[in-house]
Amino acid sequence: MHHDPGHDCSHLKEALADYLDGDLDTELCRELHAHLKDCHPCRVVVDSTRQTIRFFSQERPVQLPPEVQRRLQETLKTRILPPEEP
Amino acid sequence: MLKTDQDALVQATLAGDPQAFQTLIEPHAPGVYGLALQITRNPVEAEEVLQDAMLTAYSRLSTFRGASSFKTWLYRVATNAALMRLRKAKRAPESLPEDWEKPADPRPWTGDPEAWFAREEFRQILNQALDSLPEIYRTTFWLRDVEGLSNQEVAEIMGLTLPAVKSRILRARLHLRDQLAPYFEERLRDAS
Repeated sequence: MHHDPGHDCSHLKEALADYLDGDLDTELCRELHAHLKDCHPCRVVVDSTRQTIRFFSQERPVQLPPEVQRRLQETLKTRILPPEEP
Repeated sequence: MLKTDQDALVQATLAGDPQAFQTLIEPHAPGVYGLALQITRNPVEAEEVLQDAMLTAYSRLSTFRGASSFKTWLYRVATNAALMRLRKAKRAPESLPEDWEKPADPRPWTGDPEAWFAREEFRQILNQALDSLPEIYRTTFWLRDVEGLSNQEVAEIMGLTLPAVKSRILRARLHLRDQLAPYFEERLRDAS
């Protein structure tokens, strides 16, 4: 799967973390782009990994179930809050 | 919550106003519960972690120095509370294989991703994929890609170096990609 004499697919794994986070050095980024242009399998992996991140990042935020919220407030009330004035 | 508001609430709590603590933690409670759910994968345990974490945060608030955000500090307290619970239950840490192998012939994902978001089945698929991740990867991934925290914040919460966080997140992302791939590649086959 060596499509570019200067860059084989093993470079992808080394650079992928920073690449996905947009933290890759400009020169390395240019080289990786050149590799991805010619290497279909690597391009599929990058695109589908990006899609994976997107799926999870768009998940609805976890809601606190009302009964969990109520029990938390009760715990805090009994364990840390001073008793209410009569 | 503005940092100034947060600082004022911390100071008020330390000065003996427990109501200020309730206000301080209220916006973070769902996130702490979500984090605890990711670590324990059990709603009952997650609730206990939530309570443990909030009580610990209250009793140890004087150790919060403001170097990190209150959220980062609270998440670290919650992570420790959850991990302690796992250790008590003697659940052995799991890991992923040392090296990730790129699929020999990966196929592009097709279909309409937007349409998947609306389907209950889609949520189950995401959950199953998360379930297949060992805890240390799942928690790191959740904080970074679902909670949207920075790598640095995740490192502070998990007590890891930045390279270790990046490595774990990449392994998690690739593992999840591999888990989801059959569903999306199946769609391609269905459509053809």
